[in-house]
Amino acid sequence: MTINWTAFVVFLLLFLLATVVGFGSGRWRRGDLNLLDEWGLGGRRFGTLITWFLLGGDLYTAYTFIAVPALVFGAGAMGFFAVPYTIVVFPIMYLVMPRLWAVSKKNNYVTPADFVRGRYQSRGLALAVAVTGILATMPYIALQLVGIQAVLTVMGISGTGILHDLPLIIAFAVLAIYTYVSGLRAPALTAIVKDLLVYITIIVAIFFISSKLGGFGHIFAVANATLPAKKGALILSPKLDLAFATLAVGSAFALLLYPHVVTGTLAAKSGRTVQRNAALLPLYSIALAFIALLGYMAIAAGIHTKVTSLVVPLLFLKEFPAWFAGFAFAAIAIGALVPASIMSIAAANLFTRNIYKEYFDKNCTPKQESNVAKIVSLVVKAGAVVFVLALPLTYAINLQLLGGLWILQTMPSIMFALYTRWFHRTALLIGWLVGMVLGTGMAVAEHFKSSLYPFHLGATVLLGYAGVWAVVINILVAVVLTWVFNAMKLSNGEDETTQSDYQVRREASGS
Amino acid sequence: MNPSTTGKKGWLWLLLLPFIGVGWPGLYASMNPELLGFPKFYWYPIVWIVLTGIITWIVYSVTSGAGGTED
Repeated sequence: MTINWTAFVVFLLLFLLATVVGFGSGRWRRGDLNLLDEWGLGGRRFGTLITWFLLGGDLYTAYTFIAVPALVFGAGAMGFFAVPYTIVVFPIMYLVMPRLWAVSKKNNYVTPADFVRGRYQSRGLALAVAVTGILATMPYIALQLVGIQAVLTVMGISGTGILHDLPLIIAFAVLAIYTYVSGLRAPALTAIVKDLLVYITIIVAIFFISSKLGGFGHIFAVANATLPAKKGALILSPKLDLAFATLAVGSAFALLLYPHVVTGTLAAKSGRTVQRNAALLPLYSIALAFIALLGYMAIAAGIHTKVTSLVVPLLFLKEFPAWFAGFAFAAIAIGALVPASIMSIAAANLFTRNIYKEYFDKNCTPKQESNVAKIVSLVVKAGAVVFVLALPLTYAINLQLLGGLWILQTMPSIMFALYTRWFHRTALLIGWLVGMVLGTGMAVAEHFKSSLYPFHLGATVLLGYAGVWAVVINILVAVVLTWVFNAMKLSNGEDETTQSDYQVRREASGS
Repeated sequence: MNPSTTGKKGWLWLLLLPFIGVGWPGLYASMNPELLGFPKFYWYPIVWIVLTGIITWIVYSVTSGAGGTED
């Protein structure tokens, strides 16, 4: 394949722009970056608009842009679960996340594990939450690289040997350095560049590509005729109702438990800012719905590929003029950098606060704390690059599938704990362990082919999201063991938070 | 807890509507009626994205009235 120079030059210029913004962002609303609160949470000062861009960059990643249309391209209706998923996530966010923000601000919590530790005085439960968070985040970072790799491939940037990997290594090295220097301010400001590119790309795709392909009516008709041959369908079969519903609702809860989403939330300047964002973020879901439909546009455009991550890039290359394809590719690549940066910061915060400080250096100074986090953020990204380059792609995809299932197992310890301290800490820990083991077992039993698992309840077989089955059992175990441990009068630790810590306060007028 | 905050908390029930609207695909997994060439399975959830934003904004606005704190 020869290099598409027009597309590549446009791509490179926009990539440079994002890099400049990333490096410059450390100066924005300057704070002491030697404090973890400043480096890792941007000083908890982000207003409505910046939070909107940051969380938008967080929730809708490059992997989403690549994977959702790829799923729609291959399976049809089932892939559209992403839309109800990104609808129901916002009512949950509105209720839960402002409480987490309030209690974290009051008690200086930086990570969800900090909260669990304070709420239950349990190092074990906090460690479980921290380790789950790190494990779930790592493959997610690795998959962002797949997005960058896909656009580089279709632009013809594919040398041999070390030259093949070099562009990807350079892109991630640049990202690693500006995240190290600027902390969370870097993805917050590059997210603005990313969103401008993404929204323009999507609006152009909706009107330009659809009219080129004969309108949406025709696109759906072609998809309807083609999908059955791929064992897919344009309209969801009633047999898949439960699978679709559990995937949508389960993924919505899981998303809000991911460390990078918690980090993005805690960086807001108030609980009300988080609530406002729950009302404003659905705008991204409209973009996502049309991104999903790119899968059908690719069918109508006659795209054929076995590598599903190439579906969208190939569609853009075929339908857009070269310069605008470069623009769209930059949107995908920068759309990978923003979440990768936040994810590495979130993983670094977890490691530093809940593993390093807890187990290795209890008396470390704030400056040491932020230094450890900065270095860990580099290590995490280096690990992701090695992972993607050294191992087959399926490993990252399988682990990402497990990651969503795993993170959902922290729901009782984090979300329930925001409302009640009824559960016993040891019961939560055992429930978590049972959920992790069973969930992993279900995914393995299905050979990682999908997130679905046929649950046998007597004679009925319920096909649904394995993560949901696992968390239901997790909760049942936690409930029963709470009764048992309370009856045994086992200590449930001290709660360092008070009822009023959770209240979302009205903002002073004028803000 | 005073009566005014209790009354306001009632508005939070509105947040269940999106779950009822799109939680069960059996409600909208059909071809017809079509809208602008989109089968119902595709336009209906898109409409719900907009409704969810509006509902959440209403809940946000209503709870911002008098009363020192709310949750």
